[in-house]
Amino acid sequence: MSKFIFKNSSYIIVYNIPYEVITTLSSLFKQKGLRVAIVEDIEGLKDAFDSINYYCGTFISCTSQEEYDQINSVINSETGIQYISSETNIVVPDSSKILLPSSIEVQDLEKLTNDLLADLIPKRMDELSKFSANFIFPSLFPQFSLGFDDANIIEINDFTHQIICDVSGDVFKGRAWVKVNLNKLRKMHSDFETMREDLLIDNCREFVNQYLGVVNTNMMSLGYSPSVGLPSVYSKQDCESIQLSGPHIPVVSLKDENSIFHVRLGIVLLDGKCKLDMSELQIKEPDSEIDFF
Amino acid sequence: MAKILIVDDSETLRIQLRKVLEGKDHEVVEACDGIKGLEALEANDGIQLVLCDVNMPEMDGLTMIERVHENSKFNTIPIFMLTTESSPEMKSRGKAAGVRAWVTKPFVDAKLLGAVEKITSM
Repeated sequence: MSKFIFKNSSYIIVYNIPYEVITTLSSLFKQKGLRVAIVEDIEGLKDAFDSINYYCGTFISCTSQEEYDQINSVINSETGIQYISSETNIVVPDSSKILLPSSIEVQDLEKLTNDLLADLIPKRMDELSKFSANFIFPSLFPQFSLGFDDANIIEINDFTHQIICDVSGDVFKGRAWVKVNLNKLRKMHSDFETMREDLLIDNCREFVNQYLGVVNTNMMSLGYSPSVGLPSVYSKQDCESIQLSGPHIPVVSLKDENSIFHVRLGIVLLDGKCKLDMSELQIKEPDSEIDFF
Repeated sequence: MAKILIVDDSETLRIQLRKVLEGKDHEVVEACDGIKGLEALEANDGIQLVLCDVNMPEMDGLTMIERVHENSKFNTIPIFMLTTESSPEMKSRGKAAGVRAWVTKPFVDAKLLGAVEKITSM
């Protein structure tokens, strides 16, 4: 089999899966910004796994335990393998799903897709994001209180501006996307009603900057040394015309009770082979002590 | 009472700092990036302390500090970094560049004022 040439995107590998299932999976993953690499033999599978920059998972079907074990040894990743087969005598980990081809419906595949993508999110990242947003908000917006909580939404369209800011660490990169509705924000306090728009945006921009500062301070407890980039601000109109490229980054999503802010945070490992382990994370407030040199 | 230069690309932060410092009768000069910070040092006599962000457009804070320390007119002015960056590597860079203190955002007013008093009264 010829060598694959993979772009700098995130991929799902499918191996020996029936054509009609591949078609549905491809369509579902395309909606999520992922590409599908179709392979037909072990050599192709190994080639694909070694060449892909951002690997998100594998859907396989096989006819024997030996074949399944061989596939597992080739992929050797913490990221879930989804097993689809009528061969029920093959022993697979509990985390892998078995669906009989005759019962596969689009909604089953959709659930499988969502489960796989949700599993790519590092555990406790949602907790860290929520803590950071709620901790930093009062220092930038002391005029009113607001609470951030989990939001099971992928996109919102009710916004006026989006602020994007990157973080980079030794072995990972991440991004925060924060949508804000300035019209709603202005109604929250008289200070904002007459405030210059650029200053109000600057306030939101600084919120994003310091939110990521708290995220990064906590990431340091895991032994990483991340740094924050400069936040960029786009109007809603700008957002419709820009194309953000790069890998699919699984995100955790927050919003406040007034739907003024929608905060999304995503982190991926640069080697793209497994998700970041944040299970040992000790979430805490940044140290307010001043270091003198 | 001291004359203090704030260098930060966020106007929100500059307003916050100005309020805190002027509340203790310090005189404040502002600049929005490293280049403007160097210009402000040239244009304003008697600056006794610089509070400087790290990540800024045009010229970042650490580059600005290196330039300040190359200039014999300004190289004795103490500089505090005021930033979201808190990694040991970044602090080491600051220390090597001649930074006197590292303040992580969000700052606590009383602690910042205490540090300002400590340095400017020396």
